[in-house]
Amino acid sequence: MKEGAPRLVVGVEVHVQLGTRTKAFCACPVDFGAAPNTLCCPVCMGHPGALPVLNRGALETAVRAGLALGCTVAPKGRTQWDRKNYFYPDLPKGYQITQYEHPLCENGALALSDGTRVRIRRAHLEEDTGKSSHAADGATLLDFNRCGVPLLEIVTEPDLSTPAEVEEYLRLLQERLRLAGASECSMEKGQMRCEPNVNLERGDGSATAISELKNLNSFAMAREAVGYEAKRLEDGPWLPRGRALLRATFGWDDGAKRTILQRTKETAADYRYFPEPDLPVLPAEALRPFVEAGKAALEESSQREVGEEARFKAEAEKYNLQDLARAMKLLAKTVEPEDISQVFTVTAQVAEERGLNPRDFGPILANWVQGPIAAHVRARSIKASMVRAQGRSLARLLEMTLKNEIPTEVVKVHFLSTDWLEVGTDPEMMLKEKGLTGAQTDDDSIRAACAEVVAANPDIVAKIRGGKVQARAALVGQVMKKTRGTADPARVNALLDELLR
Amino acid sequence: MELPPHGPGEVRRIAGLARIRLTDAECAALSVDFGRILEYVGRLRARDEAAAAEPLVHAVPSGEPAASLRPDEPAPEGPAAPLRWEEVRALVPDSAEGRLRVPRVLEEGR
Amino acid sequence: MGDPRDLPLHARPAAALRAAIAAAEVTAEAVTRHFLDRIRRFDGSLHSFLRVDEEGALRAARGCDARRAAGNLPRALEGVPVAVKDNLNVAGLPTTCASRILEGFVAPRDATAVARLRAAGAVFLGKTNLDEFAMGSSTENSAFGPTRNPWDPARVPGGSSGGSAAAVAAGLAPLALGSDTGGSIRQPAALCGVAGLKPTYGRVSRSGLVAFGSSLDQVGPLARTVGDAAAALAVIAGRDPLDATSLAVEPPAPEAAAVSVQGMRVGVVREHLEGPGVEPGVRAAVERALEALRAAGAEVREASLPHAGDGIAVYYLVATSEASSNLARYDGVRYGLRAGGGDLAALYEETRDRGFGAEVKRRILLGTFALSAGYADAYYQRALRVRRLIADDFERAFRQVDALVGPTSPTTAFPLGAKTSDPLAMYLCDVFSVPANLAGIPAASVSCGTDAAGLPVGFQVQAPVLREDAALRVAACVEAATGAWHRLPEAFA
Repeated sequence: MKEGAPRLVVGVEVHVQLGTRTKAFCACPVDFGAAPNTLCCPVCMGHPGALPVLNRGALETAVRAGLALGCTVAPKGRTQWDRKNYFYPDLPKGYQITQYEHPLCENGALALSDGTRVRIRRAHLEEDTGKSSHAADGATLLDFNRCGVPLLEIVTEPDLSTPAEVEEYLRLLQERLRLAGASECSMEKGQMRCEPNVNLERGDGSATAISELKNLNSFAMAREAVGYEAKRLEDGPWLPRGRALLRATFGWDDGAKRTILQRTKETAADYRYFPEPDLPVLPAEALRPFVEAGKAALEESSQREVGEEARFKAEAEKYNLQDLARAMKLLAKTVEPEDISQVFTVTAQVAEERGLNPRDFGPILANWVQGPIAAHVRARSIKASMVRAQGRSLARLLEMTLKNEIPTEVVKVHFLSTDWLEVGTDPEMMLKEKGLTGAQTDDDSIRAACAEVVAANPDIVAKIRGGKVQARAALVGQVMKKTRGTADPARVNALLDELLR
Repeated sequence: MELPPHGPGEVRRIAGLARIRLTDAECAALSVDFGRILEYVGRLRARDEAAAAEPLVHAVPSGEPAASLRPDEPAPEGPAAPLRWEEVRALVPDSAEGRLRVPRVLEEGR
Repeated sequence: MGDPRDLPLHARPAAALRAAIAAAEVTAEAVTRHFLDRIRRFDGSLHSFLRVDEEGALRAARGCDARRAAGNLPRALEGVPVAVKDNLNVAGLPTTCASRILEGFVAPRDATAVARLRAAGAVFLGKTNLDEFAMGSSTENSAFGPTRNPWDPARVPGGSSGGSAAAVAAGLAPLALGSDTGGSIRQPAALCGVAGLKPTYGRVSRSGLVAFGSSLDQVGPLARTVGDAAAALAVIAGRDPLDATSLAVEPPAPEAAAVSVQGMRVGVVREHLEGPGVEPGVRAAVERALEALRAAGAEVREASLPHAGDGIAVYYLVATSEASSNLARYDGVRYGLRAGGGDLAALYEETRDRGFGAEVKRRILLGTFALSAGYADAYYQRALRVRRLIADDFERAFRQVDALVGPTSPTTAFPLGAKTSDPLAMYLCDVFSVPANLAGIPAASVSCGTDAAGLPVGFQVQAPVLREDAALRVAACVEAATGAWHRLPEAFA
């Protein structure tokens, strides 16, 4: 029996480091540049006798973040902390203070551009662990500066169904949380760690095991890993409807572009959760002032967003970009090294300095960036920061294009779809190297090429004169070949018109 | 009243969770102790009125729980200040390159 | 009671020592030397101290004398020597918790209660012995050998604060700090004939107290007199930003203990007093104390605590569950003993195997079991629900009476080794003391005489949440009637 194509089912767990000054349960500063083990105290080092005390700023920020995601704060009437007990060297107390049955926020949602609603089951406040690295001899080295930094763990329902949706959800989450001032949310800096949980389901209710994907440091990796796993799972094994699904953890090997099995979870770990006796329960009444303050802050930031939108409108005007949504994408502040908008902003600045008119080069540069440059970056799986042509070289190319010193075909074929983007050689030098300067672009040689082609193809000429307009394209193609693609097609057509009259 | 399994196998599993190693003799002796203790504490399961009672963890809750929150401010001096690396290192059995050192972790992940 | 100045220094209450120092009758240094000398003379066999800090103590005492000479007013405990249970951090001294696993750990900072005593002028003599990680009722679980009862060296001092209780009883320190999770201040106070107080949960900061049962632990004083215990409480109590469970309330004034019990309603749970486990000598001494209360104008009534009998079962599930988690940090990674080393798993196992004693292992395993998946509902959760019933019993009882009284311990001091082979028998020593920890209410123990063998009997007074004043009042009355606080065991007189 054919069940039809299997459906991809994805839920995502994201851990976001909240942008507070100090840690979740002690007064140690949060500072990623500090020397190892210099931001630790008896509390976050798990010394005998040390007790946790909740950071008011962490609670405020977490509430604000939850509200920004559409959540209700403590819908069950209270929130409390719990201990999750397990042994690991980066976990000093032998337990993590987290939230189990009464999370701070629940029942939120984000809407994707196609209207898909991604429900957010919960967002809770917990502490981060220390960082481990490896010595040459295989020993583990530990730095506890990060231990105790406040995290917001955000868990969605399995409402995502394509790799592109997963990426969009992550970008939207990042945008919302940054706007709410909850966190810088940089994936590259490890401030936003995502773990998609992926499996396939069929029409008859059968399903594969669930893959939990880790070590994804960029949106691209998240998208690729989900896509890879979706394909890999097609081979099953498939469990019939109703059976409890196994879980397995996979890391992503970005070099080999595949997932690597880390471990299967035959049985769920026994974390022996129990309520944290050292921290008071916070009833809903105690949280009310935080909810009010959070709502007010979000209102203020959405007004700022409206202000931002006005700024974008002005910039879009400046660069003569008609489509505002498209313009906002191009002009947005870069967060990740893969954000393509940096190519636009960096190049635009140089172009202006060279005296080019933004209203003239704006639409051209926008098309270049969002068209061939974005395509190239995606095809090569490189970060936008690796487009070395941005800035000076692209600005020069823009200048030459505006001054008609270079045909669009040449720009497209020899610059925007090639390694030149990653190398960024000065365009004039490139043209010289490739022998594309001078004669090829002047009108006389094009005219001469047209005349030669007309003379060499009497049958095609006859067809054109007979009314078959489409046949012209063959002549144009031959002229382009003759001029090694350097002739301006519009000019070629105009000259052929003349010759064929 | 039936008892939970407190045989040596179960004792070993629990000991594993607690990272406590037991010899066979210790395991057997503990199994006996557990049996008696669990039988004693098992009397609680007969307290039917307990089923309706709310679990009590925080015996004396503060009237103002939000008062126990700490401001988001560093404390460079005093009892809440960070330790200096020298203080941390003085207590640590093994360190290298400013980091604490432990033997390699065999099992991947947590 | 005559003039304390007629008593030798080591028999005087801390308040009298402070007064003598303030009046320049004696220097703080001389007082400290007196106690240090006695420790040197007597503690070899008693073993109440794990560490004596002579240098630090004399330095602090000289500091007190310098302050006095400079004309400063005496602070609340100026020049008073204090012994600190070795599960409380004293900056610069090792904290061992009487365990091998903390070998090499030197406390970087004072526990809050210690810091407050220090700021009040106290002089720290050293750290006292305890059952390992405060788990025990006899101080026999110490990794460094037991402490003996000053009244009979073949007997236990009680536990887990046995070292602190013995030190005060033997006149080696006028005041000591202990901790109480299931009776660990009160029971050794009873067995050693001194006063002990477990404050309301949250009254005193737990920051710097090595955690055993986080929702049960409290720091409290052991002293010769109820008055001294009240004065010490006033110094150490109060909200601490480092302990989120500490309460923002003013402690009772020490003078509150001196108020007459006239008109107070005092409840006795008959089933407890007349239960099979209670020794006849204990029952008799407690009855005499009840008589004294009646004579002083208190009304003695019957009271009922229907679920108190389940206290031990609840305690040994809740305390061990919390302990199993609190002791997970002792893993050889960041401080203390580190053993093994082939790989990480071996490091954890070797360290905890060599570092923890048998009773600690037993309780960690019991707690791990009670919390583990499949059992947590039936054991841990069920215990928390019965805990609620026990707390409700007290609340109901306190609508009828101002204090609940009875024996602190069913027996007087038992011989060393008598209960070590039967964990359950040892646990039952706490039958009258655990309910107060479970409910969070304050409870004091004061000596109410001796049994036929001359062993001290303790009288327990429990009061409603934050009503230490009521407990101290009743205790002070019993103390005045039995008048035994100034008596030291013959061997230590």
